[in-house]
Amino acid sequence: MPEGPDRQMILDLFAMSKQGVGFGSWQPGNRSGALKIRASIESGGILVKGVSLFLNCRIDQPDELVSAGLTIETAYGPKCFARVDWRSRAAHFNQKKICGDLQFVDAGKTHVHRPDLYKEGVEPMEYLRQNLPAAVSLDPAPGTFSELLDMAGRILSVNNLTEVEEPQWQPRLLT
Amino acid sequence: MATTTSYLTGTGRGHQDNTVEEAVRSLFSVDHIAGRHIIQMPVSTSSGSLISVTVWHDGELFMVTDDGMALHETLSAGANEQAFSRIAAERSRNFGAIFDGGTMLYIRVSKARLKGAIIAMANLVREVIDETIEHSFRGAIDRRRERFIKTATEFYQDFRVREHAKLIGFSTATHEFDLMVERDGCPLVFDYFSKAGNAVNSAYLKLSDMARLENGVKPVGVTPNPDAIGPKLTLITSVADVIHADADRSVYARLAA
Repeated sequence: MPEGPDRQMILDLFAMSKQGVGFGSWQPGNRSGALKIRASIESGGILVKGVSLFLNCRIDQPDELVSAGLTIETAYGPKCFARVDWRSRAAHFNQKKICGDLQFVDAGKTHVHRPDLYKEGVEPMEYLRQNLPAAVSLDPAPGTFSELLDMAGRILSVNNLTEVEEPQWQPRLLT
Repeated sequence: MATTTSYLTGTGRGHQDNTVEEAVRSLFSVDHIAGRHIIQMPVSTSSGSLISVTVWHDGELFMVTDDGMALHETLSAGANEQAFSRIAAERSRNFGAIFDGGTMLYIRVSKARLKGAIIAMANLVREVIDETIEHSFRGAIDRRRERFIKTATEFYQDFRVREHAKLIGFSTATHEFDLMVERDGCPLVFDYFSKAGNAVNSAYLKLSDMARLENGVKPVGVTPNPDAIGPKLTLITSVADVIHADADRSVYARLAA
């Protein structure tokens, strides 16, 4: 049994026009302060097996540290194969050889991890295991949460991502 | 212009020196957001995300925390929250930090110890993220089952061996077995099962249905740890031989005898 998808399958899933199904509202983690949305993916009238959409943020940190991405089922469970990170706490650096021409490039705090950043011959499980080592900066970066949804929707080819509601952020009153 | 010579002798500074110093200075940065100092450290996860450590002060004392960064990184990689919590709690103990379920913290840190606490927090975060993501790639494939298939297939190479063999049992139901070894008169069918109750029940159903056939099929249960199953193991042994998943070749020889 293969460990995971092949390169072409990942690229096709990334590029195909799709929609999230049943976004619902943001769900809190267990005491952790995390807020999450998980949704199935539909394309051409079919709910696609093994592919999901996710959004993560922190309940107490409005307008920062938001990630939106796509996961695919592997022999080890769902793994992220494409992701947009908005206003991360720290920058992403492309450090490894697998990043190819992007090696040593600073992708900044707002960046996108796309599966087409890896050269032909690099199998998806290599970069899934390394949690997507290659990223490119998003420039201009989205200025608001709704701009993020719009941009991430276009990057991930999820047509209805803008339907996701804004998280019920609860900023800290005391520090 | 011999900037290399200048650099080595220290007699002058070329613009390359400034470039190096600028790069070194930019390894650290501090943002100030809502009373927090968010420090980007020159420490990164294995994926390449730099680690940030957040510091607050309360009078003369400081709180040093990852502010949920480690959890966010691991969730966005597809790792699960339970594994994160377990690993974060364990590593926090090693580092003398507090883990509150989502955040790792050093509280009431004195000025003299602040630098050490920031460095320790950055390394704690890196260890937790890398370990959680690595952990998420372990264990889902049952390596022992694969070893069993490999060993048995090699041992029975002179026979026709089929993986995922479908056979019709006494009840006329079709069952799928992990391995079937076709030998004259008496095929061996192997079913791998774990200690989970449902797995034992399912194995019993299949193996007993084959045992009732009168065509000489020999059902064999395979499990990684027979001792872990408890009294339910007698269900399986009432209808089939059971072998250890790591059984050596002599066991396969006895089954084939």
